[in-house]
Amino acid sequence: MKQRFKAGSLGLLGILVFSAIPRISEGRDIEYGKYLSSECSTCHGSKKSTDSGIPSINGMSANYLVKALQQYRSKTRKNSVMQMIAGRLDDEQISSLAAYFSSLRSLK
Amino acid sequence: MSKISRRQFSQAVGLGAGALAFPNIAFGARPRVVVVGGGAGGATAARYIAKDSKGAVDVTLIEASKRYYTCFYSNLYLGGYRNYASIGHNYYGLAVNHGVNVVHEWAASVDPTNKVVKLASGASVPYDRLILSPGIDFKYDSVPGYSPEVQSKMPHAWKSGTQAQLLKRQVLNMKKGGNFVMVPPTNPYRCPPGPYERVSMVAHLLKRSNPTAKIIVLDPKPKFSKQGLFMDGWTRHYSGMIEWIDPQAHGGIKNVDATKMEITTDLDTFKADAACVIPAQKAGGIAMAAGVNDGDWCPVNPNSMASKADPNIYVLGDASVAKSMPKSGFSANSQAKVVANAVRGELTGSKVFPARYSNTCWSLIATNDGIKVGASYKAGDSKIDVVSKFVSKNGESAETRKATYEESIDWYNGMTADMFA
Repeated sequence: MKQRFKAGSLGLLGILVFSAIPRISEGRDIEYGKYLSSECSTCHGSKKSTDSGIPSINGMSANYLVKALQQYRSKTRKNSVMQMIAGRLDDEQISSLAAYFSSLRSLK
Repeated sequence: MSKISRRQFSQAVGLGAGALAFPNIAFGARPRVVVVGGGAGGATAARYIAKDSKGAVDVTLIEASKRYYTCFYSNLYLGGYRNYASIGHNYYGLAVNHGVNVVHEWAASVDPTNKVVKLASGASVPYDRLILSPGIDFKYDSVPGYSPEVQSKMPHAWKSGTQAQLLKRQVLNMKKGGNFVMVPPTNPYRCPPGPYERVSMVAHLLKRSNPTAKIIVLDPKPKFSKQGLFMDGWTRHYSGMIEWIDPQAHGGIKNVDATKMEITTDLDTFKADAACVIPAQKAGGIAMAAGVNDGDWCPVNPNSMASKADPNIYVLGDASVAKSMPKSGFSANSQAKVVANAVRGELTGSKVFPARYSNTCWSLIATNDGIKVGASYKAGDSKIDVVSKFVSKNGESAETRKATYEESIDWYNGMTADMFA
């Protein structure tokens, strides 16, 4: 009972402390990038990727990924699936995704 | 307070804040998620919740089969492009890499009041959130004369596995110049282009082994997915072999006789040397047992896939009403990520992001002649709305069609890794 009382007291204090600290946007972006990336993993997440079809994108440079996604979005790069996926990504989402995938270790 | 280090203080504050909002965590018990069904929806949901919660959520997957044979690509097995073993997968990765408790038993019923899943063995599995991804069951009586007893004579082969093996054997054993008769299902059903990819793959198989054989499609629907693309492909690759007959012409399926291998319509009685009969479909039985269905399917909230009947139960994949998304493995996998995000948010307080869905269905017409249809989606007020869509076109170059097929191979590899790795 004594321990539970202590934890409860700290919890109340915690809420007060947290409400005074602004949200850390960096942490939220990483989580958001990770959530967005789950849409990519359906096709890009295999070690067995042949690269003649869908490349593995883990560990690719962020600059390359940003450029590729922007080209798909503007339909200057061909592939109907990627044009559809990139078509609804804004600049911030593209940056988050590129940062996330470039931070991963290559699958190969 | 002065004796607590800064690090200890931060940890205690974090725990305390969590303890008020999430009482399970306060007393050391991890919140429990039970997933029923280890296919494209269930395996993905279990994997993402376990992976992303890093042990904070206790995830149990109830799936009777120890080896899962994918429905997607079972047509390519029929056509001879894949061997049977290559479409089989196990649950080792979920258990070993992500700590999912994989229970190979049959989920018999759900007690939503006490939040317990009851297994056929008699054991009970309690949950805080239940995710149902049971796929489909058949409405056998939708095709007069069809039943579980006759499915070995006229396989549906619509859940992969043994039925797919059986159908392939029966096609290969047809007499020279014999008839293959296909009865596709009525809407809505699993994998809209699937029956027509199957026709293509059977034609591919027969073109080599039995080139004078005929394929007759007795469709209960007046039109079908990617119809123009399939029909163009059938003319180019299998000229004179395939006859598709719409319901206005045949007047409806009046009876199937598996003993005589005959399918009767108003137009004629068709003699089959091999037949594939796919009945109408409904949500898997456990969804009915849980009481989250409205008729044949389970309504869900488009922003989370939570059941409209019970907020502690989520339904995804084929069993759900996810209009405008088709019932496909890709859709189920996409929906699973929205569910995983929502469930983790409810149980651990992690950030919940707006639902975004996508789907692509690739089909193979003949060697290196792949086509695709797809769309992206968002949660609307009353249903899942299309954001944008695309579909292959007739007259595309051979290079484009080959690239589409190669894309589908890597999708299969990516998809199965996303479910099981």
